[in-house]
Amino acid sequence: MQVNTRLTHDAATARLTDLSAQVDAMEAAIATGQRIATPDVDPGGAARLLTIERGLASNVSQSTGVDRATSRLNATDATLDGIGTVLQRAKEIALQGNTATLNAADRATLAAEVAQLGDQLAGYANARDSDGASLFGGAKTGAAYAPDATGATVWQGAGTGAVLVLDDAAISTGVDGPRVFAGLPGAPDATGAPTSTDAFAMLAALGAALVEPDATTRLAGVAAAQTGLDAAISRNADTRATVGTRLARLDTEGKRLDAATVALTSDKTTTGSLDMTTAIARLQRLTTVLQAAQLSFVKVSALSLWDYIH
Amino acid sequence: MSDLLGIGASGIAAYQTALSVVGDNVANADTPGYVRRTVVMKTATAGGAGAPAMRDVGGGNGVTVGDIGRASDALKTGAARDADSDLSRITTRAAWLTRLQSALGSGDASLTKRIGGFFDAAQDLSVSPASTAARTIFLDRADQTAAAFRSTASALAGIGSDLASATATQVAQVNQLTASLAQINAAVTRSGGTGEAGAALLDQRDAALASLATFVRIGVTDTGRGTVEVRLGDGANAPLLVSGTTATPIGVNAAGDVVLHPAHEPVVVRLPASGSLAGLVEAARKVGAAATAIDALATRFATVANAQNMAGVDAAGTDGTALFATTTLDVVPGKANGGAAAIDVAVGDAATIAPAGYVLGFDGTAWTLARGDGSGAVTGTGALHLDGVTVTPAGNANAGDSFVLAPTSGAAGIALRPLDPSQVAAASRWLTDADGANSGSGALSVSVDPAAAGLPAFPAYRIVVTGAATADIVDPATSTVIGTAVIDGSSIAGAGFRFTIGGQPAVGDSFRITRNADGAGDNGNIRALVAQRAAGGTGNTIEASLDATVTGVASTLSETKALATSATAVRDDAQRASDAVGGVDIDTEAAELTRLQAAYKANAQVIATARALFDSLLQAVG
Repeated sequence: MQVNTRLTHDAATARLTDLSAQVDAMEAAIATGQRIATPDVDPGGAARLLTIERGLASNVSQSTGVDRATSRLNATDATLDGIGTVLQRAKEIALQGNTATLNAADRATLAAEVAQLGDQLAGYANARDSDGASLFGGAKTGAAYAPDATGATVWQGAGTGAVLVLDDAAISTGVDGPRVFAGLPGAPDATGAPTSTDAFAMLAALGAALVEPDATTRLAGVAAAQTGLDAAISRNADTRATVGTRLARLDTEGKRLDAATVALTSDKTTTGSLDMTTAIARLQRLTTVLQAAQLSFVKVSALSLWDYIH
Repeated sequence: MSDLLGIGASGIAAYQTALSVVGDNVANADTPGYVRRTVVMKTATAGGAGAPAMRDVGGGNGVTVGDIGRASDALKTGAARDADSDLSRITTRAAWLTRLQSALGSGDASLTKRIGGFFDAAQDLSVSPASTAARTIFLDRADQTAAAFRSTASALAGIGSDLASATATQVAQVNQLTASLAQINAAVTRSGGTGEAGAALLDQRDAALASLATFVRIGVTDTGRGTVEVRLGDGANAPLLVSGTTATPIGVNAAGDVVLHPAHEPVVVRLPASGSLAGLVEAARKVGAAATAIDALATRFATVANAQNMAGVDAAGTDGTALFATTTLDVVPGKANGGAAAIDVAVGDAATIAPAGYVLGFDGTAWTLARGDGSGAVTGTGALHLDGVTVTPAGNANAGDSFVLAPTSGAAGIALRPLDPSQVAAASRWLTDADGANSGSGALSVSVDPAAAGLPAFPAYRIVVTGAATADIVDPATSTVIGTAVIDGSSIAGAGFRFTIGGQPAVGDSFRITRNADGAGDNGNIRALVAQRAAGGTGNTIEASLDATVTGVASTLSETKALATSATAVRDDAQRASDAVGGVDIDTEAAELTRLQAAYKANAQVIATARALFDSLLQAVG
C-alpha cells in the first residue's frame, strides 16, 4: 500500500487540530468549573440542571416568604400578648368593682382606668406589621378598626389575611379582627335572649357600669362584663395558640427549605460541576499527547527520499 | 546497426515520456483530485504502418509507451465519495443545530431563565403584595420575559433565513456541477477519454463528482468510454441528474422539499440520503419545529398570564387588564418595490389590529394605509394613523411601491403593555370572611366566574345559615333576603363569581362575600398565577415544555456530533483506501524517477554503443 503525501499531511494536521480543540475545550471547562458548557454535552444533565436551578430560585423566594410571615406572626403574637394583658387588667377591675363597698370616687377612678384600657385596646387593634400592613385587617392594608357614626369601634377589614404558599403547604399569615375582638357573649337583651358583643363595646359597658349609681344595675353590668372578659381571655389564649402553631409550622417549613436547598446545591454540584482533579489530569495528558504528536509529525514529514537523490 | 540505434532511440523516447509523467505526478502531488498517472511500456511492434521504411526483423524493435493510465479504482473512489457525502450531511446538520441550540440559549439571558424569573417575581410579590418595589420587579421580569420571547423568535427567524440562503447557494452549486458534468461527458465523447488530455478530463470529471457528492448523495454509472450517468441517490429508479450531455436542475421548494426542474413543472423527490443539502433541509425542519414550539409556548404563556391578571383586581381595586399584548405587525416589502423606503410601525396599546392586516402604498406623492379587507383607508404624506396603528414612512419610495403589514402573533408578537405597578392584579376580586361569633366549622370559598349570574350585582353579600343544609343570601345594605343556597358542597352562582360552603356550619353562622375594593393587601390572584407555574397544559408545565424543546435540540445535536466522529473515521478510511490507489506518494515517485533515469541512461548507452559499432564497421570498410 502506498501512502498519499497530501493525505498524510492533511490527516496529521487534522489530528493536531482535533487535539488542540480538545485542549481548548478542557481549558474552558476548567476556567468556568462547569462540566456542561452547552446542553449538547449532556442533554439529560442540562435538563436536570435547569430543574435544579429553578428549584433553588424558588427556594430563595419561599425562604423570603417564610421570614416575612414569621415576622408578621411574631408581631401578631406580641400584640395578642398585649391584648391579653389589657383584658386581664380589665377583669381585675371588674372583680374590684363587683363589690358594694367601693365608694363612687373609687369607682370613677376604676372607670377612668377602663377607659384607658379601651384606648389601649383600640391601639392594639390597629397594630401593623413591619411592612405597614395592619395585622387584623384581613386583606385590607389600612386601619383595621375605626369608630363609626355612633362612636362604636367597627371592623374595617374584609377577607382573610394573605396566605403564604410553600410548595404544598398554605399558611395563613393573618388573624382576622373579628376572631380576636368580636363574637363575645354580651349582656342579655330586654327579653333575656343572649346577645353578642365585641371587646371594645364590652370595655365601654364595663366603664359605664362602674359609674352606674344604682347598685343592682351596676353589679349586673359588671357581672356581664366579667363573663364577657372570661370569654375574651379564653379566645385570646386560643388565638395565641393558633399563632404559635403557625409559627412552629413556619419554622419546620423553613428548616425543610434549608435542607432542600442544601440537597439541591449538592445535586447541582454533582450534575453540573467539573471534577477538577480528573479534568486537570486529563488536560495534562492531552497537552502531552499534543506535544508528542507535533514532534512526531515534524520528524516524520522531514523524512524524504528526495534528500538522498543527488 | 541501425536497428540498435532505432531501439535505443525508442527507449530514449519512451523513458523520456515516462520521466515527464513522473515529473507531472510530483508537480501535482498537492493538487486535489489529481490521480496518479502510470506509464505502461510495450514492446514496439515490428515495422508496419508506423514505420514503413523499417525492416522487419521479426522482433527486437525497441519499446514504446503503451498507455498513460490513471491509477484509479472506480469502486474505491465511489466509496470515498459516498462516505464524504454522509460526513458533509452530518457536519452541516451539526453546525446549524449548534446555532439553533445557542439561539434557544442556556445562559442567564436565556428564555428559560426569564420565564423562571417571571414566576419567581410573582412568588415574591405574593409574599409582599402591598410592596410597590415587588410590583415593579414583577413588571420588569414580565417585560424581560416578553423580550426574551421576541429575541428568541428573531434569532430563530434569522437562522431560518440564513438556512434558506445557504440552501439556495448549494442548489445553485449542484446545478452548476451537473451542468459541467454534462459538458465533460460531451468532451470525453469527443476526445475518446484517452491519453494525457483524456486523463485530465477524467480528473476533472472525478473532481466534479466528488464536489457534487458533498452536496447530495449521487449514484454514478459508467456508461463506457469515460462518460457517466449521475442519479440523485442510489438505485436504478433514482431520478437522473446527468444523462449523457443533459443535466436536470434541482431546487428546494417553499415547503423544504427537494424538487426536480423547479422552474418548470417541479417534481418532488425524496430527500437525498446524504450530502450537505440534506443536512440543510433537516436543520431547516428542526429550526421550523423549534420556532413553532416557541410560538405555541409564547401564546400559552401570554394567555395564562393575561387571563390570570384579568381575573383579579389591582391595587386600586379595579379589575385587572391583560399583561401582554400578543399581536404586532410585520412589515413585508413588495417584491417589485424599486425605492428604498424605511417603514416604521408603532402599534399603540389600545390598537385593534385588523385581522386581515394592512396594505401601505405610495402613488408618487402620498402614502395610503388601507385595511387588508378594504374596509377603510387613510391617505397622507406624513405619519398615518389607523386603528391605533401609527405608520411612519421615511426614505425615498418609487411610485407604486407597496408594503404589506401582516399581523404576527406568537413569540414575535408578545410585548408587555404599558402598565403602572399598581395595575398588577395581585388581589382576588372577591373576598370572604366569617363572622367572629360563628360557632360551626363551616368555611366559604369563592371563585371568579364571569359568566355566573345567579344573583343581582351588589358590592357585598351576607350568607346566613338557617338550617342543617340551607342558608339565606342577604343584601347587607338593606338586610333583604335575595336568595337561598343549599349547603351540600355544590357551587352556587353569584354575580360574576361562584361560592361553595364547606365544613359544618352551625345555624346562625354567617359569612360575608365582598367585592375587593382595596387590592393592595391581598395576594389571592398572584398566588393563583404562581400556581399556574406548576399547572400542566397539554401534558406539561410551561417551563417543562420549553425544557423539552431545548433538550430535544441538544440531544439531536449530541447524537449528530457522535455520528460526525464515526462518519469522519469512515470517510478517512474510504479516502485512504481510494488514495492508496490514486494518490501521489512523492517517495514512490523519487524511487521511480531514479529507476527511469537509470533506464534512460542505459538506452543512451545503447545508442552510444550502436554508434561505436557503426564507427568501427566504417573504419573496417574504409
